[in-house]
Amino acid sequence: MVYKKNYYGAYGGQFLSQSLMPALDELKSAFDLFKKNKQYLAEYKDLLNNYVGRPSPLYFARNLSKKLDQQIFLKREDLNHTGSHKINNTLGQIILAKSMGKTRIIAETGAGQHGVATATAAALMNMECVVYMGEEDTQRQQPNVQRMKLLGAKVVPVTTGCKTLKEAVTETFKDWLANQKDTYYLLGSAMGPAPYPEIVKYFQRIIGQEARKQCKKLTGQLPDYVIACVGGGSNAIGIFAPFTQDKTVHLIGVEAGGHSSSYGKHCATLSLGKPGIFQGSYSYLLSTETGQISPTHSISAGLDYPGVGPEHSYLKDSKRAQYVAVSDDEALAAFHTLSKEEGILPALESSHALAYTFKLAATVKKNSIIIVNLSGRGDKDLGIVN
Amino acid sequence: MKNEIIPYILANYPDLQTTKELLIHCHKLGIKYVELGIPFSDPSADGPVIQNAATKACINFNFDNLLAILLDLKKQNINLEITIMTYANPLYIYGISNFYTNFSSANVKGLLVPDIPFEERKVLTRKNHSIKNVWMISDNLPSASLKKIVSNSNFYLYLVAYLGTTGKNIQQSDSLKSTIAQVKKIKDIPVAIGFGIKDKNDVTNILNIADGAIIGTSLIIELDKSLNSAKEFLNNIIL
Repeated sequence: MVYKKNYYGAYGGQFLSQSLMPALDELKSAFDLFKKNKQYLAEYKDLLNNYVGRPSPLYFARNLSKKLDQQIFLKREDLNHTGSHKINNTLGQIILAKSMGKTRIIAETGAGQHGVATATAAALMNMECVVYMGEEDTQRQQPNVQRMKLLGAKVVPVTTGCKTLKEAVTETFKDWLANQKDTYYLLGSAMGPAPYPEIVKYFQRIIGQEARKQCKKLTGQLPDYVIACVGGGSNAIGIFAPFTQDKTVHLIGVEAGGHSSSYGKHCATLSLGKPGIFQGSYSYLLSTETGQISPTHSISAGLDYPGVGPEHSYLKDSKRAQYVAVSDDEALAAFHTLSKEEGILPALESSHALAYTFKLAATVKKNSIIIVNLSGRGDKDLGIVN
Repeated sequence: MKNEIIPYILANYPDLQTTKELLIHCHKLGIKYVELGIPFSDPSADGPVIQNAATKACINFNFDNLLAILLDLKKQNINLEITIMTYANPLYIYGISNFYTNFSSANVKGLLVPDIPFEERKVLTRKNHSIKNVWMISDNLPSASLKKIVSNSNFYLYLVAYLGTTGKNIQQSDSLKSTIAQVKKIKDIPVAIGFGIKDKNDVTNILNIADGAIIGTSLIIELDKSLNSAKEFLNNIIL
């Protein structure tokens, strides 16, 4: 196991206010109990099967495969209830929150996918829900704001700084600091202080577990490549985790290259950043030479974040996974390609993984088995794409 | 430390010359301890007032320019005991060894990092320097944690008046008193209270139970009016 005392190698930790340490300890104890509790686990499994609609298909993309001369499989997390992989995590964590006796749920959101999945879980469990969302994101992902409100959540637009995901995370931590007694912070990505990266991976690894089995069943072997987009890194860690011991499987995380590699124009944290301390953990980070957090840009709100989950930093340094970046334009082109070739509208986040897949397909041996995590659907992005 | 008013001054807000003048003014007023804040783009422990100020002040801030000012003050025999308050990343990027080496020669006695809890102290540990860690404590810490933190402290402790961010309203609570009593039982070490201390009245109340009262947000609100207004505010509190 690479995970030891809150760290993945050198990365991770609990870099938050001292006053939140008791809340993190309480969370860790509850999570340890959760993992051993058959009743909670059965409830979670039941919800995944009958509420989310798992297992999600591993679809052989017939037209793309033919066009690219490769075997392309799409892990269809876009078909989950609420339209992305985020629901896997929110249902697990909301059962955990209930087991702790918490009555109020708070969450950050970027694209709004995690916000919608949290609001959904909270509605299902009849809990109060507050979602912090950068003001810029509330404008560019308007349909998701409406969905959250319909689900009964209060959406708080965050107007500080760049008005995107990192500010939403900071505001959620502030809320938690003041209200930790009755409030559960339902974090949406595999980032933040320990034990969050472990919790999120635990609930997202179902993606990789299913994909591994499905791939073996469909092709008789393991994939050659597993590709996922990386913002904070939850869908990527979810599909990577069950493959990390399979040394022949190449794991590739695709970051948002934005407009260009210059300051403030991208959010390719692992590709262009260096280690730093921010929002709970020691991990790769985009910061200036004086340690201020860099502004970021991506066409995809869900990837528009200057940090990344600590396990990805470990996977990068240990070379178990490779991280690359594609530009806004490449992601947009991939969005259109998938829509036309396969009749599937991918989320702009997932379009980054597709864009790199198209590049890779031209350079690797023909007929390779490539799994792409289609982490979400693109309906929310129509306003941007048009 | 006993009966001390500790101003929180945000470095480089609105510029380093103002920071310098404020420090000189503190010295003139006989203030002994100052908490000097390093501006950060994303201050997670601060309320809107300090956050807005920090967002502006961080743009062209760098540690070395601040160091030059502190060294100059030292040359003028302005010997305040300064605690640097900085979020983890600017400090980490500047270099922790660098920081200890350079700033210990500039009257800096303490280092307070609100997003490095005692559990992660390893990050701050270096040999051979005179700067002491100031840990933040609060009334919700389990007694075992409190004991570890207090026994490992040798400057003073920063007790937050409530759970939340800076600049809200302080409520005089019994739990603050009992936390201080708990601390003193473990070790005879000064305790300063910060967060939400707004005016002379709050200061008086806090100094009835603690050794120091840290005042930050109100000072920045005054500074937003003018430097003179900030000086005036300090005069009124001290005198």
